[in-house]
Amino acid sequence: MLKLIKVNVVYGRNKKKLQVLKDVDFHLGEGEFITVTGPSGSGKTTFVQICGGLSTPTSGVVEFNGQKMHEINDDRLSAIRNTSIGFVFQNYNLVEYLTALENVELPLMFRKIPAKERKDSAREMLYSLGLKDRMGHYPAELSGGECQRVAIARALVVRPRLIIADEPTGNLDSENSKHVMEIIVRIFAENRISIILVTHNPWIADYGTRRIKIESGVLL
Amino acid sequence: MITVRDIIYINRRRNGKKKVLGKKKYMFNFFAILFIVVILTNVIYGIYNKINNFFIDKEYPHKSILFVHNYEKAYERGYHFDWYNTPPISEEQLNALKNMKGVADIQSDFGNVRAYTYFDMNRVNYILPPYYLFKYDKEFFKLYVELPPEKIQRGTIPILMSRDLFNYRYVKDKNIFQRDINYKASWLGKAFDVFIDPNCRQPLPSWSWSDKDVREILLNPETMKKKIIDSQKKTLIDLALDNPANVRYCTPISIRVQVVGFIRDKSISPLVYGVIPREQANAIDEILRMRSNAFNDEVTRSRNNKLIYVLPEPEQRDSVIKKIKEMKLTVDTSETLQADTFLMRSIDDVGTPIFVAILFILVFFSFTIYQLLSAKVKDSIREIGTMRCVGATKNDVKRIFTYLIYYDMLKTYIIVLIISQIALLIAGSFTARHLNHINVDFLSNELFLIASRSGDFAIWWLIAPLWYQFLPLIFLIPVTAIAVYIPVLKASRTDPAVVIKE
Repeated sequence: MLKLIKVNVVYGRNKKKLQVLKDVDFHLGEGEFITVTGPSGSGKTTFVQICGGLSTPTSGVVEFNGQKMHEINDDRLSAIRNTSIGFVFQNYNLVEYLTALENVELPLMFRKIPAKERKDSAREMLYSLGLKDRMGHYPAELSGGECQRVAIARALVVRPRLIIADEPTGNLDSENSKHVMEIIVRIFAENRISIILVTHNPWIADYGTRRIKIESGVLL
Repeated sequence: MITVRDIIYINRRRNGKKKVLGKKKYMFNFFAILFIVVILTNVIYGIYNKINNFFIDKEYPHKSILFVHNYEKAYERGYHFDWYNTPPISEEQLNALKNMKGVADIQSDFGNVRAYTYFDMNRVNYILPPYYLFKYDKEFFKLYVELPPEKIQRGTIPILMSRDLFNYRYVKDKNIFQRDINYKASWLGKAFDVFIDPNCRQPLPSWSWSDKDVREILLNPETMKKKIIDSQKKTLIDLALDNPANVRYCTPISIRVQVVGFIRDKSISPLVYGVIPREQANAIDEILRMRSNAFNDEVTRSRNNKLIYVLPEPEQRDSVIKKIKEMKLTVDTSETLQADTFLMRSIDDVGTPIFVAILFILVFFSFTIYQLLSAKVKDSIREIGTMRCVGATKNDVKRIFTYLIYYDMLKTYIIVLIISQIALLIAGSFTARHLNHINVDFLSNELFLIASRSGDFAIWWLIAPLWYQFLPLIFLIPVTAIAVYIPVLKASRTDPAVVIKE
């Protein structure tokens, strides 16, 4: 489903040049759950950015469902992000002025889904994640764990083929981290969605079906 | 692509939450800018009017102009009790008047005295009403009237007022017009009864007042006052309709008139007045007699107190010039007034002062708004990144932000419009108390007009044209469009990866 071939990412120029990813070859199959670990500054985040089509590599090829990412225009890339990839971030990235329900609806808005239909989908997703009573609350009124569950619901509502989670438990205590991971595992088990999960935490990394490590921009 | 409905929805939600994006901070800045723009526009309007009025006085549209320059300045000689009778209007003249463009009919039943003004050095007690009942047709209003026809009150005699009358102040408790050179007020739309001041110590020698009336005033002012007040209940038109024969004999103690417009130091109604030496008045009278269609002649005073006699139809030109020379006045027969209108034309070269103001606002405020919006976009970077991550295209971001900015602008504008008008009126109310001590030439007339709004006159008539208050909005739409472009473009180009980096 996702292929990275000889991907290099270089920031800066000349003396300030910093190679973040070096000749990364990577393949993600359908229904794989990959955890990515590595020390800080090793290039994990850049790796997931490239995988999710949020950034373009300096060189190399990224293929998603057989489509070369660098060959498609920005609108199409947005459409792929909107329909096939769900993102979960460490700091949740919920829109402050929207309620939990509206935040989950947001990706569907950009797909012109009628209001009623998208509300039903968002509601259903929040139900399934145990946020039935928190739908009308704003992010500021939710706990960290709840925020992350809303973010997961937002990622799932588009029925993605790939979920990219960048340290989803990074801001959570151990209990909430466990809860969130249980949800992710459940999603993986029920829907067979491919998952790339970045973590520092070794016990979380164990959840994956495959575990990869990045060190100094090199995939190990 | 996101639908317009959803854009509106998102922005409504955004505006509903106070904490979001430092909204208060930006709203305040928007407010401040708009407030300045609205006030500035008012001032520009005033300045524009000031400039326009200054030059417009000298800008006569007539092709053949005969100027009479008066060496002896009337002001230096003080005010005179001065009045002059014009010759009775002949049948031909009357017909000529009736055929005048815009005039439907004229009744000359109200006497033949053409104009009359009474000064007693310091104040004007009395201005005689028009003596001819003009019936204006629609064409007339098209030509001269500034007041919309629907605002003209029924039963009033529409009059055009010379701009010089701006110096007369309406004293409400005395119900008289009093000269006050420091006072400027707009009479447009004002309806009032023109009547003899019952407190006047010196009775006016009216052509239709009987000696009995004069005696009555002298002996018993209170009785006369009552009589005048009673008579005010009926307009001249009513009196005429009751019994046309009355009109000839009854004094038009009170008639209801309404100022429907202003003209450039001339009046189509025969409300001619002037402060000129008696010998000049007599000479002018002679000139009038020489001219068969003297009604169209204008006698007026220029800003520097030169007496101007304008002959729109230069018949008997030579005789008139001769007569003027006999009066030891100089004659200027130049057909255009290039020197006088030079500045105005030079302003016209770049459009109008309003155009200049637009340029100023465009340049200055677009830069300021640009800075504000740039900061706003910078603050919204995470939000934009999030939207991009979940599938917003660049166009979606552009549309959302453009809508947001225009929405904010319009909302703020409405608030500013209301507050600024209230502020102007409060300021006007305050300055009105000191009005007599302020030289109106100091600032734009309009500011003082605003001030006077809370004084003797009805506020709404004196307020600057309502449409003018919307000018800033007209300016700000393109200004915002210019200012918004780069920040919105920047916003749309936000790298979605920013949400992970930050």
